[in-house]
Amino acid sequence: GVVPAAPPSSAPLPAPAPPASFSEILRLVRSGRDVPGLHRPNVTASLASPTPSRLARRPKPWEGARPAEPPQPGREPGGSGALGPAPLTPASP
Amino acid sequence: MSGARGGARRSQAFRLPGRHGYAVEFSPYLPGRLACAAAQYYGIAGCGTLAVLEQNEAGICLFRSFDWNDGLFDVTWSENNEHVLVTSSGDGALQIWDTAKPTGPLQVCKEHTQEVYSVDWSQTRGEQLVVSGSWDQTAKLWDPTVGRSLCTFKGHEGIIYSTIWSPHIPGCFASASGDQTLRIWDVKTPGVKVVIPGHQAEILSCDWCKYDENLLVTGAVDCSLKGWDLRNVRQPVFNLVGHTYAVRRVKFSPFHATLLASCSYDFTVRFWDFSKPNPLLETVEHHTEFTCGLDLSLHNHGQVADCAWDELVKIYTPSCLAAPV
Repeated sequence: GVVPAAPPSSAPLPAPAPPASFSEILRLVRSGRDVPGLHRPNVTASLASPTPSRLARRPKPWEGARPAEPPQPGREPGGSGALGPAPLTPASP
Repeated sequence: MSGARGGARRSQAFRLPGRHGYAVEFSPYLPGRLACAAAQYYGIAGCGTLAVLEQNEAGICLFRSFDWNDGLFDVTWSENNEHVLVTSSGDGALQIWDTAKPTGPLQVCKEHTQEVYSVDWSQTRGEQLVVSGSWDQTAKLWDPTVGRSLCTFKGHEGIIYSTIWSPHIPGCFASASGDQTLRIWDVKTPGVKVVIPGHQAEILSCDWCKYDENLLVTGAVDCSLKGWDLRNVRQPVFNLVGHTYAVRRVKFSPFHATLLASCSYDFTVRFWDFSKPNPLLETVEHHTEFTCGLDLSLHNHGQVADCAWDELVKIYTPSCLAAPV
């Protein structure tokens, strides 16, 4: 059921260091110790067929609109794709 | 409410006790339906949970939840069946679920050798393909009706954090990596098509503009979002600063060519319009932990969902998106 959340705090946020419990869990796992309350189900695939679909695919908001140039100063018009036959030389990372 | 800070309208929340949210995605079929991929213990240990939520005016309730043996890091809905969705997990597997079959996943596809941080179902009309991205530095292509991958894409020299299909170019996807590059791939060739050394930091997320097939955005550990035009990748077309910690996920608006949303380890969600001289439209601060999941509704204009490590999923309409443009 619905669990209403507390309203967000208006206090300034502290620096987001990982919370104490995050560090503790990391420490427990790295030292090979059991984490309390760990839930390890043993779920396997059913290999069943999916429930048949009854709904038609809905068009996306951008479908039907041409992939036109958005208004932006300094850009040249033209909608040709950038992925031509010759790949760009890979840059070294 | 108006103003640039915090003023989200009609915000609703759902708590997943003992679970840390990694990803949310609205159903492409059902306006009120939202999937959340979550992990026990921040994804470090324990199981994962897929929560399928139902939202309406009265609030958010749990439609169905599924457990998996390891933490779940991403979720994507099928584009050809309203019941079906796919998750990716810490044990290197993908799971295919049916919301009408509560007993467990239909299929499990385990090939990646490390955590799978990203999974995406193709958005173009003619294809039904899934792409996954893993800490094992590879991306894999899947036909959801076949249990084995169709192709493995190698080239990244670091963890892959995000793999996203182009909404316009069939068979084309982008990947974002810890090797600081954004790469563009075509399923017809195993080698990379374009390499963009986008940041001097790990790139955690990427997305495609829905109204310009050449434009992408990346979000990185350097706290910035950068825009990339595939016709000239030497410099970014925009650089959005404001987040104070790593940008965890970026999403282009489904309705507007120049609107974007981002969430961050600074706990905030921010909304941007890169065509404006002051592009930061609004900052929403309603989480108390790393905010990892973010999606924009395809049906309800301006509606946003997010999730964070504070166990909360939130659905709301930020003021800056409330009025149709």
